[in-house]
Formats: sequence, C-alpha cells, structure tokens
Amino acid sequence: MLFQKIADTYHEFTVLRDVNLCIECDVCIGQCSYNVHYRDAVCFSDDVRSCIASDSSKCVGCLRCSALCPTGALSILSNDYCNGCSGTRQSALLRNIYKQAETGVKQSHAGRGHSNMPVYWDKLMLVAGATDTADVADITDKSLSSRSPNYLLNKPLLLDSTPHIAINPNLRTAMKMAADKLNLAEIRDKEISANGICAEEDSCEYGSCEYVRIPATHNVAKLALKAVDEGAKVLVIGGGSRGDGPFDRNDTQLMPIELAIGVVDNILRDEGVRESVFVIAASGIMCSSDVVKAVALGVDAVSIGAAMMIAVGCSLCGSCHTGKCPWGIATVESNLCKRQNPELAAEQMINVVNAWNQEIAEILESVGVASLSDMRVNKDILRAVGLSETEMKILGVEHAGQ
Amino acid sequence: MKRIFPDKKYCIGCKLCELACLVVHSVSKDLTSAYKNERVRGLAPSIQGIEKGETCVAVSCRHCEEPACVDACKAGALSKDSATGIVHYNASLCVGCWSCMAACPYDSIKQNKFSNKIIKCDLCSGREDGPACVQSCPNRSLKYEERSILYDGLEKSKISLEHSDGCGQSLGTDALIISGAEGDSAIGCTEHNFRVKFEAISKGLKRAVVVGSGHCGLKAAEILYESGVEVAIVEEASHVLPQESDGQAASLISRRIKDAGLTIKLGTAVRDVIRDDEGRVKGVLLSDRSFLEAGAVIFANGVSADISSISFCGLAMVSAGILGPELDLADDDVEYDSYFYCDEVKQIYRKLVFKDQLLVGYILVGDIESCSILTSFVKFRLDLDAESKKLLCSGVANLLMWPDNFFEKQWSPEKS
Repeated sequence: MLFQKIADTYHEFTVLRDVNLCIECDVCIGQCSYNVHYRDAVCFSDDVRSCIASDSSKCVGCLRCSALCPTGALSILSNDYCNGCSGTRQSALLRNIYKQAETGVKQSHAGRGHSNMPVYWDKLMLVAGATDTADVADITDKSLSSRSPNYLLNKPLLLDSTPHIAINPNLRTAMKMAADKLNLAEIRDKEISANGICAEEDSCEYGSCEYVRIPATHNVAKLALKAVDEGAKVLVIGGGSRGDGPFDRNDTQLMPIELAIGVVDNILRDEGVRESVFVIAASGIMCSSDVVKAVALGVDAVSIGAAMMIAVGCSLCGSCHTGKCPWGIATVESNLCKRQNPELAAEQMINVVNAWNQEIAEILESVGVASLSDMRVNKDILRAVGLSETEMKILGVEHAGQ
Repeated sequence: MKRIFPDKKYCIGCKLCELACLVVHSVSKDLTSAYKNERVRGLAPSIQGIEKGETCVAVSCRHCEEPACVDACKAGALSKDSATGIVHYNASLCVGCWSCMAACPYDSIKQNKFSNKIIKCDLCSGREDGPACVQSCPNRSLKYEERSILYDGLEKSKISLEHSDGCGQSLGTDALIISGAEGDSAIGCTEHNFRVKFEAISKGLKRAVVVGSGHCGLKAAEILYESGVEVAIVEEASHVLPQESDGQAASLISRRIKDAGLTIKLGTAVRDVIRDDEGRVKGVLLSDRSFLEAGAVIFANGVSADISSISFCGLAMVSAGILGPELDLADDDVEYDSYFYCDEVKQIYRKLVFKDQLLVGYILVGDIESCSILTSFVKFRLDLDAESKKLLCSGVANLLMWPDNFFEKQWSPEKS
C-alpha cells in the first residue's frame, strides 16, 4: 500500500464485506475494539459518499463483527494460504517478523505464533467391552472415598475461575452462578469450593479445600511428587495445549496435557501415593469425549474453563494479551466488560455442561461403564491410533488392535 | 402487563434492537429493503439507542399506567387499551401536533419527519415471539417481563394537559364560536372534527376571519387555508399564541404564517360583525376602524385548549412549564435564569428558563426533538449541574442526563 511499511499493512486476515448485503448500519464499527471498521469518504464518479471501509491489517480474527452483523455481510478469511507454505498459521509468523524487522520490539508470540502441538485426545479412541472393571480399575470408589476431600468425589467437572490472564469480572460472576446451579466445584484463587446443597447428611456435596497448581513442564512428575510429599491433597495440572483460548498463553515450555497426565499418574502410582491425592487436569479439555478420555487416562476430575469461554463467545483468536477482547472476555475495560451479561453467560455455560453431561452419558453407555467415576484410571478402555511406542508408554495405553 | 425493560449496565450499544424494530414494522419484512429503501421513505424504529460517554441504553414507550400522551392527544389518536395495557397509536387520526411528545417525560415518542406524524412502540402487538427488539438483543439487556413500574407519582403540573372536550357554539353556518365553555357541543374540539367541520364551511367560501390566535384559532386558520380560503387572523394580544409563547418565538411562527399567505392583525379586537340584508356575514369591523371582508368569522377567543404544542405550515412549536406572560417576564426576573437561542434562517428558536438548579419552562420552535427530555426535567424537577444545563441549552439532550439513581428507578425497577 502506498507510502506504508509492510509491517503496518501486512494482514493475517482479510475482512470481506459483501456490499450487496451490507446495509451500512455501523454495527461492525461499534463492535470492533481494534478499529478495523470505519467510516470513510469514497469518491464515486459524480459525488463523494460516506461508506464503511475495513483495515484488514488491524484485524485479529476474533469474528465478533461477523457474528453480530445483522445481514451476514462480513466474512473473515485467514491468509494462511497466501504464501504456499505448509504448516499452520504461517501468517502470524510473518506478521511477527515483519513487526520485529520494523520496530525491533518483542512480539507477544515468541514462537511460531500459534501452537502446533499434536492433540493426543484425537489419537485416542474409546473401545467398548474391553473392560473387566473389577480387575483393571485399581482405584475404586471405596479407595477414593478414603481420601479427602469427599465433596469432590462426584464432581468430575470443575470450573476454573483463575486463568492466568485478566478476565472480565462479570464472567467470574457467571461462572460462580453456573457452578452453583450445576452443583459443580469451582477452582478459585486459593481453594476449590462447591456450594451445592447438602442433600443427605452423610454425603456431603459442598465444602472447600486448598490445592496445589503445577505446570505441565518437563519435570511435572517431580513437582507432583514433591507436592504430595508436602501434604497436598489436591493437584491441579495446567498444561500447554493447542488452541489460543484465554487460558493458553505463552505455552512453549509446557507439554500437552495428555502427556502430563500420563507421567503424573505413572509416578504417583509407582510411589504408591496415587490414592492419597485428587488429580485435576486444568487445560486442553475442549469436548465431552476429552473429559471421558482424561478421566480414563488418570485424572479424577477436569476443569473445563476454556470451553466455558468458548461458550460465551471466545473464538480462540489468541489476542488476549491486548486486553481489548471484543467479546468482553479477556479484558477488564468497563466498556468491553459490559458485553458479557452474567445472567446470559451463566446460562450458556450451564447449557454446555448439560449438553456435555448427556454426551458423556451416551459415551459411557456405549463403552459399557456405569459412571464417570468408574472410568477413573481405566486405561484399558483407551486405544491409541498412530502413536509411537514412547508416546504410548508415557500415556500407558496400548495401540488399537492390541 | 409485560413491559420492555432496558438494562444500561449490559447494553452494548449495537442498536440491533432498532434494526429488528424496523424489520418488523416494515412492509417488506426484509432488513436490507427496510433499512435501505423504506427508511428513506419514513420508516423509523420506535426504540432508540442512546449514548452518553461509555454508557448506552435503548429506550422505548413504557406504556404507562396513566399515560400523559393519551391525555395530551386531542385527536384521539392515542388510547390506552384497558385489557392489554398497551397504549395504541392510530396514525390515521393523528394530525401531527406533537402534543404527545411534549407531554411524554420518557422521550419515547419521536417525530416522523416524513409523514409529520409520530413514531411509537406498539410492543409488536400480536407478534408470536414478543417484541422484536428484546428477541434481537445479543446481550439480553432488554427484558420483556412483568415488573411494577414506578409511575412518576408527581402531581400533574401545568404541562400535563387538561383533557378537554372543547365545545363549539354555532351562530348559523358562517359565524362560529369555538370555545371550551360548557354548552351543547357543536364541534368537539378534536382535530378530526375540526377538519370535517371547517372543510364543510370552506365550501364556496373566499375569505374568512379567525378571531384569536391560540392553538385552536391557528388550527382553524390552517385548515381553512389548506382548503383554499383566504384567511385573516385577528389577535388582541401583541403576538400570536399569547398563552403559549413569548414574543420572539411567536414572531417566527407569525413569519411562517405570513409567508404562507395569511394575514395577521395584532393588537386589534373585533368591534362588530357586519351582515348584509339577508343576514349573511360580510365582514368584521376592527378596533382600529379598519374593515376586513369575510364570508365567515370564526371566534376562537377564549379557547379551551391548554395545549403546549402546535404545528403550522410545517413549523412546529412546543412550550411547557411556566406559560403565558411569565415567559416574557422571566427575562428580567432575577429569580429566573433564562437562556435563548434563535436562528432566523433555519427558523429555530429555543428558550429555556431555569430557577436555581431546576428547569422550569421552555419554548421550542422549529427543532422540537428535545422537548420530551426538557419536559422530563420540568416535570420530575431533576437537579441540573452546570454541564447538563449547557447540554440542554445547546439542544443536545438524552435520557442518560437524568441522575443515575433516578434513571435506574424509572427504567430498571426491581422485578415484582
């Protein structure tokens, strides 16, 4: 573009406006917090008219405008195809280097822009009828109940309101509302708590406890063991994962959560302390089958925070660090925060969890397991497809066909 | 009844509610066509997104328990449905006097500048999914539900207009008295009846004299004028609309009337009605000893209509609060602090009278869009700071200028 540096004009995304559909209602202008859309004077053959223009170089691909456009006139195209390279998100890589070349300033993504880690969940399949539960599940409900905290036992799903970036306080409110309504436990800053109503005196549904959060770094196993030695009852493993949700930034040093679950489970079992600790996986769970697989792989519960953010609009654009999230998620600016009405957000979260519960029930039925807690550390129900010996050893699963 | 309640805490200002309103009230029921074609021809949303700084909210008719607009409407175009609670608007009866706008303190009635009528929410009556604006709100900041609304609860002040079936007294077919005095109703003082009656009178009539230039007098003159009659207006006071306006506002109206081709005689009274041998009216003799030839005389002197707005030949005027001679006095009175603005070219006049921190009266001519807000400040006696005063004076006003807690109380009452 004339008189401009490539660092300013290079765009990862192209905003496509169908002028036949656009009615120039200005909704997109109001919704974009990156000022992509604007009013411009355009010369026609005989007069000058005001019309809406878009500066694609500012677009982060959050899709807010196209979601709210009343006529569906906006499409956001990723420009990854344009340089013909293989691999994903090349355009983010180029954008970073162009910016660095121009300014000499560090960019938010140190690596290739967006994570390209494998998704092991997709390479694990659930097999029906392979289980002799009494034999395989060496951690039964009975042995679990000897551990504290009791109130977590029937709560394989948790909500995580402590992401490591600033999120809209309205969403914390919404998460609390959803957790209370669904009787889920919630990971807070210092504790994991549940406020469900105590139905019977002996089966306690509420309570709170401290926890230890460990990152899925290469020494996650040692960290886990150390925490247990120091008396931790609840471990929360935060892993690195694909996807660019609000919970997954700066993930280059973190391994995929599946491998972290595998090594932690292995070492705790080797040391004979698996039964004395409640393990929670706190990232990388994006769908209901991930929940089932994670529980089978060796955790007692999973936190589904990232999926909750998608439920309220997050499109994984990976621009959380700007603090200008147009969906009002990864932001604390008051004019953006109000885009999340806690009442509506809580309802969306509740709906997702309800839908997942139905799906999980179906999955459990199809593999012949009665409940999610029976699924705990039931690796025999998992089979790998296309994984190496090493990967399968870490995960503790056999290959499909074996 | 169920009403629409906005929540300014979560309004994101996208104005999709306005678009939904447009579509539902359009002929084509298609957004593109409604927005691009029908809007140009006068289609407008009856819900308005308003903004002040970062705050925004969308407001529409509240369908009040005791609607001031219905009281104000002389034409019978607005009515409160006792069964559903909806305040209905019948555009075919509306004459575009905008009294309802001036009376409504919730800024919920808007001018339709294309048809010279009004735009008002009908709660999408009969729509299966409820009001379209509520359905379209992406952040659920509009709710359609039962809540007890806080009615203003203030005593009707001067601006809440007395409902009056003005009556007329007929002196034959060519001399007519229209007044609010009790008596057999010859002409119900609704605009519709006015029109029918005066159009009948105007048949075969060349010249007429209207005595009195209050609202009714001017309306009568307008209808006669539109029927092709040559009209002279005689007013005893020094300016037209003596009860509703000050000299300067009136002079704008007068000028518009004169430009249209009517004659105005100010500061004169009628001494006698001259009739010919057969008893037909020949004209009137005035106090300045001049004679005006006329085939009909309409006396609109002690006219009832305590009405605060009028449109004449397309020029709208609204006044409220302190009325009559006080408006002129306010300029010199130390108790009052008055502001006025006059644009002769655009024929816009704006006069605001403040007393301490309160707005106590106003006159608007030409641009009357902010009348509803001004009415709210007069009616609810809302305190104004210097900045808000400045905004009001500059003609920029919206409901978000209300004190925050008052706004919340009125628009977001607790669920009942």
